[in-house]
Amino acid sequence: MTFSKSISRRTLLRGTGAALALPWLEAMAPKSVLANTPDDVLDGKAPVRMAVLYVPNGVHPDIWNPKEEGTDFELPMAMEPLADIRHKNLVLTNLWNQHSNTGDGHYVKTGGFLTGQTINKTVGVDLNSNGISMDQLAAREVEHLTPLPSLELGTEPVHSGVDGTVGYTRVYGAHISWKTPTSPLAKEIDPKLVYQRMFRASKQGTQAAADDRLLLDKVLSGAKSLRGRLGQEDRHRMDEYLESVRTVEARLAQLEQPGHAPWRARADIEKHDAPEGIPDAHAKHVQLMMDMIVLAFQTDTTRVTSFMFGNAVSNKDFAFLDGVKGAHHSLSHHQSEEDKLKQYNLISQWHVAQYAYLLKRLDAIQEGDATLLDNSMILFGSGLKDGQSHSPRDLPILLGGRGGGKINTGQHIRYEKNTPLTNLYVSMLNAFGRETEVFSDSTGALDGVLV
Amino acid sequence: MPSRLAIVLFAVVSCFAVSSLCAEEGVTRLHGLLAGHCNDCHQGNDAEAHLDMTKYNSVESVASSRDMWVKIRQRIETNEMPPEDGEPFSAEDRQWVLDWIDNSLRSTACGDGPQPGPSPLRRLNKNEYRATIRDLLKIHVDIGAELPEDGAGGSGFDNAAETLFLSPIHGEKYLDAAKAAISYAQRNQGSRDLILVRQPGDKSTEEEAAHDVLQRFATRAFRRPASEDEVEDLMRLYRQRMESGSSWDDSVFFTLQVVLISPDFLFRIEQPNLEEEPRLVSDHEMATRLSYFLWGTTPDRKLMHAADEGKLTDADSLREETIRLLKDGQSRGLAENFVGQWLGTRELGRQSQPDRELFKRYNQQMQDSFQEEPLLLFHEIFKNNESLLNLIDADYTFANDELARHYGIRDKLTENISQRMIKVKLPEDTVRGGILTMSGPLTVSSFPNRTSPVLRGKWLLENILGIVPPPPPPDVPELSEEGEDVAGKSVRERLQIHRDNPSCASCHNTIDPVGFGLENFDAIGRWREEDNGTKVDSAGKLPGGEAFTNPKELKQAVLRQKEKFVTLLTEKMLSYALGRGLVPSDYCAVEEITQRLAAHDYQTHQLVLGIVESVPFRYKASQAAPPTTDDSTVRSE
Repeated sequence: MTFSKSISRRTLLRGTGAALALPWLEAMAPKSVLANTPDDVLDGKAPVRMAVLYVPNGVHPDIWNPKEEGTDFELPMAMEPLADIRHKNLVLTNLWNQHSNTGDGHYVKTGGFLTGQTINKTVGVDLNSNGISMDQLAAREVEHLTPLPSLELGTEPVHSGVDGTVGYTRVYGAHISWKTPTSPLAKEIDPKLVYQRMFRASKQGTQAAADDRLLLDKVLSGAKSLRGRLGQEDRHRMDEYLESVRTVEARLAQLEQPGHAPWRARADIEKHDAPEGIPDAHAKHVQLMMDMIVLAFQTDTTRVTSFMFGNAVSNKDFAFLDGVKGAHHSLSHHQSEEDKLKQYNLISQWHVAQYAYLLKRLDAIQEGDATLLDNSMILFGSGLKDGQSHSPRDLPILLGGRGGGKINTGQHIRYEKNTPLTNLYVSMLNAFGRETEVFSDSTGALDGVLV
Repeated sequence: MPSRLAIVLFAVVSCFAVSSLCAEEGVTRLHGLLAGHCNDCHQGNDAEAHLDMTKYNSVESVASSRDMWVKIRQRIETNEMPPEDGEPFSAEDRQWVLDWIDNSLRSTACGDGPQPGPSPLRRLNKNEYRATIRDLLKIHVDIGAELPEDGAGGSGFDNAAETLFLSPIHGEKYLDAAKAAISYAQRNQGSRDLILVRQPGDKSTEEEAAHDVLQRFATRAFRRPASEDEVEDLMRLYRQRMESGSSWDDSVFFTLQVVLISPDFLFRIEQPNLEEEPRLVSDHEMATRLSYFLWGTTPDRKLMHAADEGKLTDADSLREETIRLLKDGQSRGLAENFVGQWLGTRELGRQSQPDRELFKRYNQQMQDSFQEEPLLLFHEIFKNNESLLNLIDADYTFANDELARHYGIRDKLTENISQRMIKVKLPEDTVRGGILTMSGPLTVSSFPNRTSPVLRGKWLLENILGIVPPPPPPDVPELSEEGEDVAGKSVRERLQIHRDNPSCASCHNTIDPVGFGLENFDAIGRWREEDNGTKVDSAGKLPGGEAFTNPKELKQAVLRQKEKFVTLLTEKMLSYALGRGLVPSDYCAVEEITQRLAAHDYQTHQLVLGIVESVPFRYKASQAAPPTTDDSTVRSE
């Protein structure tokens, strides 16, 4: 990312709002091509996809909680961008993440958002989320069916340093997806690399793939004997390495397997050119990442994705929004000052607008009688409510899409105070096809979500 | 209720100054807490887990039973103790007990003599990987730039073993990077000359040549002699490629890719010490430790040679090599990786982005010079064995034309200054010199649009004096009624409102006055006499009450507390050198090193030698004893 370029681009964007609004998907390929999914691949039922969008720094209750319940409720300020797509969205209030009601204001709420567990308090040693994240449980169910088991995306590299004041490593604040309690999943933040990764993963049966396998097999056999020579403590790391190599190997093996029903892209990924690296404008960056999610789901490169708008405590400068002059985390400590609140709220609304953008993109893609959105579930939320108080009660939670017709969208449901957020995870996992009775502190499925 | 903040901060700030007095106060409080929360079960002959807490209740007991106290601490920290049906600590008491144990473990660290501490398996981090590929292949394309960024652990560095986890994405990226690197090397004459140590011809068969090439490359990549088994394993792949019709060249280079994705290359692997006692690390392990510490990359030919000859287990040769590496330009690797993370200047352009509307002259080049200045000063001081205190105040700095203008000293410089950052002698009357008054640190401790004495105070306390202020209460009290009052007030005046609130005051009375000392610098570090039309008042005081009236005096006040600064820097650098967070026993080494520094005018080489010659750096702990059942239950699954 170069700076001088950013200024000119910024100027350009200021001048022509249109440049920003033109989505990569449309700029790169006409919509008719995108919708042109091969018929034979569409035989049978379209798969269910799941994405989680995580927002740092919470939202203010005044602009979030709708007054009315049911289908006929007035959209609060933050949700205004959902007006056109509200019938495919669920607003769920009064859910809380009880195991994150401890520790500090941000890291516990972020690292534990999808696990429903309490992270170990540490600047490094014994890093542990004490749970597998909900998205990764879903991924386990279907990872053998697609080239990539899941995609973890974001916009910010993990912040450097440890937070000595609260006593947590910032690694916690940069990861919501946990493959195992001790293995967070690193995010990709460059849309170009995401695209290239999907592109390569979808390549089949080439000589390059055969060569890769040869290399990986060699490495795996050597590494196994090395593992035996390591001390007890170190084997865990070596296992992560082996798992990491095996994942690639397994994919290549699957693609090569003679007689194996080959994975087929549901849409042609090669219709697109790779996006340019990380744009300087945050809005453009986020939109490209949304486009990557659309592409991943549409092509069936993966069925599970998580995305972090920013890391915990993100101080992303939102001066690019009209009416905002400042950074996200600072403004979230609004001290109820009207001026700061107004800016904090505009930032929250902007995040919902990006979510709405994703929903609409997905909804524009036809899959048989339904749309891609109808076959997806998109969780949007934060691990805390008001950025001033950091409470994990009455969390801001939206669920978009119908999960393959299983989700009862178009309403606002207000639950009993302190209903576990993990009840929603139970419902989502079941809708996704992974039978689940209990998840962390859940007390059952969430009433009213499933059809 | 001002209690917790006041107490913790009081403990941190004043206890360090008068530790013996504090220890007594502490023991009284400890007795009370143990009696109320622990002794019901842990007392007498039938104490639970045979742990009679009435015997573990003094600093002396910490000195004599360190392992037990480490376990007790762990149980309390993970909330296993007191158990659910017991009497839980209040959050405040719990933290206090943990801090008391930490402080006692540290203050008694030398009781058992120096101990090596753990040496966990660690992969190369992203920067190490990039530098290693560059030096291994002598190529100048940035291979590894696509790897995910690494987070930090321990004392805040991204080379800490505990946070260097691997995701499936790493496997993909390593494979891609290896292919890209080797393909580039195969086409680059310089790399070919380096890698192809033998070629098939009159004197060598294809087999012989391939064997030597693979043997040599694997040895350099693994940073230790490759075993004949390992080479033979690679040869099998080479032969397979030859048989399938590839050329000799292609077969050899194809096989080299395996080396670059194998764990022996990607990880820094040390043989576990299965003896009962701590043991010196091997010569090649030492070469690796030393090289990644001082250069951030793989050992060079000379260092490998010294290891081959068995010289690095010899104290004199080790010292010689250390100084050689330090004086070499490549020690910039240490500066690059250490300084930006220590001072937080790595976040410039990331988390730290000045408002470009307000600061129109701030651009990429200026950002680069902000990042570069502290790094260059640090490198200069370490190369030339200057005093560590020059980091706080020096009569020279590094600047280019733009930075010198930014500092308002351009016209007073005698050097011929241009776009490039060069060493410049500072004019007599400038306030600049040393990291506290550099624009990089001043910017990362500001908001995008304005300065913050709170952030700057916190930055200085944490990164210079090693005092970590406690977090604000989770539910920060709202100051809504003051909303209208604050309009048109200076930052100092607004913070006064803040400090009039008793629950804020206890900490902010310590933090804010430190930051006031830097209020003469705006949010990108430019000198200013006025802020919002009000004359800047940069009077303040350090914890302990030492007052100052301007930034120059602030530096002098910090220098009078140099022991704190030197201890902090020693801790940070030891943690960086070891690639892990410090454990209580490491504080013995810290103490030895700081004493050595005080006796040698705080010369940088004494710091580096102190670390290199320390027990944690030279030795590895015994891994002979299998973990006891008790150990495994302490660890939460």
